[in-house]
Amino acid sequence: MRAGIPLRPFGVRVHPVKVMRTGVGFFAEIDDRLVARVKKGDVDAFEDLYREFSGPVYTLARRLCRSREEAEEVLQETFLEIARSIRAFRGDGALGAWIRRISVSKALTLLRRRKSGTGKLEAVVYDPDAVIGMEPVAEVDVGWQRVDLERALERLPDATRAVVWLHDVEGFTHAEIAEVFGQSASFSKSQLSRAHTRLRSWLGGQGGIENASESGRTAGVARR
Amino acid sequence: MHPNLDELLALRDGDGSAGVRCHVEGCELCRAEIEELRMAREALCALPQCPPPEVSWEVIRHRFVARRRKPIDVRLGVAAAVLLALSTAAIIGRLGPRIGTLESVSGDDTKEAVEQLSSASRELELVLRDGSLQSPVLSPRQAAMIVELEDRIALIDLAIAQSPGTEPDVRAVALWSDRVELLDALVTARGGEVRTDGVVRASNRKQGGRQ
Repeated sequence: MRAGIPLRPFGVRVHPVKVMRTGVGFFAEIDDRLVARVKKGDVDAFEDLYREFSGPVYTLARRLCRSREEAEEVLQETFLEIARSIRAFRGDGALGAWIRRISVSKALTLLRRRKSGTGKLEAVVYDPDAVIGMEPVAEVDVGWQRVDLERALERLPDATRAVVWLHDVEGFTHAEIAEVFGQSASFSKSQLSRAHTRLRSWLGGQGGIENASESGRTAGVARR
Repeated sequence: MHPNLDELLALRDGDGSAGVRCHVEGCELCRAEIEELRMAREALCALPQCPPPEVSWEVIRHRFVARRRKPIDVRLGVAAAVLLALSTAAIIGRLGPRIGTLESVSGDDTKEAVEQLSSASRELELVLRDGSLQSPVLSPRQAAMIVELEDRIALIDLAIAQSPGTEPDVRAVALWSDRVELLDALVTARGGEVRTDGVVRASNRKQGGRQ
């Protein structure tokens, strides 16, 4: 391992300050009184709720969808759904988990709508034209490798990208993914496997994984 | 024989079978592979949050407030409709014979005007309902305008619903005329185009933009 900035898989340089785990934002502690105020239609309380969860919701939407416009639509629809349904929220589980569930549902609905006609998400075909002109998702000040990972994520087919994000980052089980997709757990497992294979082949092909080969971790690639 | 990727992913996530676990414990390549899968997951988790556009809150706030205001608007609408009916009754009472004369003279014209306006109204509603106009993301100004227009249309609908009698009168013509005008503005606010051609009609709606 080289000295200095630690290297992560795919050559991602980890910035010690900028890095923030994206999956944890949904589990912020929320005061019950805030929820009660939102239920009564208090705009200020609703804004507080928005400020707390808009980051995680938008990030989730941005990772699942292909464009900023789609992510914004998911963000808007999620919070309007929260406004519509919060009276039904009994507090049995974490509010963040409930909000995350709504976000996922809205994002998948949008993706399905985009694939109108079949009503199913594209899970296999990769269209290289679809990524031409795509902007990097976040600022580039952390290093090109991270942008590379984000671009590779965007290149994945919709369902594959959604599965790897929901499973590896948001912590959904295969059974939960199967439920939101209306598919089997095997579908989720195969999409996860495909996602890892593709991410590694794309990013490895650009030299980002040379550190892995240095430490003798190419066995899996060779095996496949 | 090495386990496949599905099996290694399951083991990484703590769900692997005893057989796979036993193999991996004695296989350096597979242990390295699992470590790489674990680090791949960490790399994904380490991607930063994407800050939402500030304008999104404004749009959501407008729509949240509009939703919250609806019940109040309904009450106000009923009150407005009652006031409108009372004022119309007062005017009719005051002008009595004159309006009666006007209605008797222009009764057919009034009926025809209401029919035309009602037809134009239906066309515009079809344009609005087919969904092709609606922009997926609204600016705060668009959202506010749309909410305002929808509220005003709701008030007019209440007034129309509470119109006395079955035969259309001059007041009905005025209400339907206002309704068409507001629907026209709503179509435009949602990115459509409406032209006037005797009766208001929607055109070029599938192109979805102002020409």
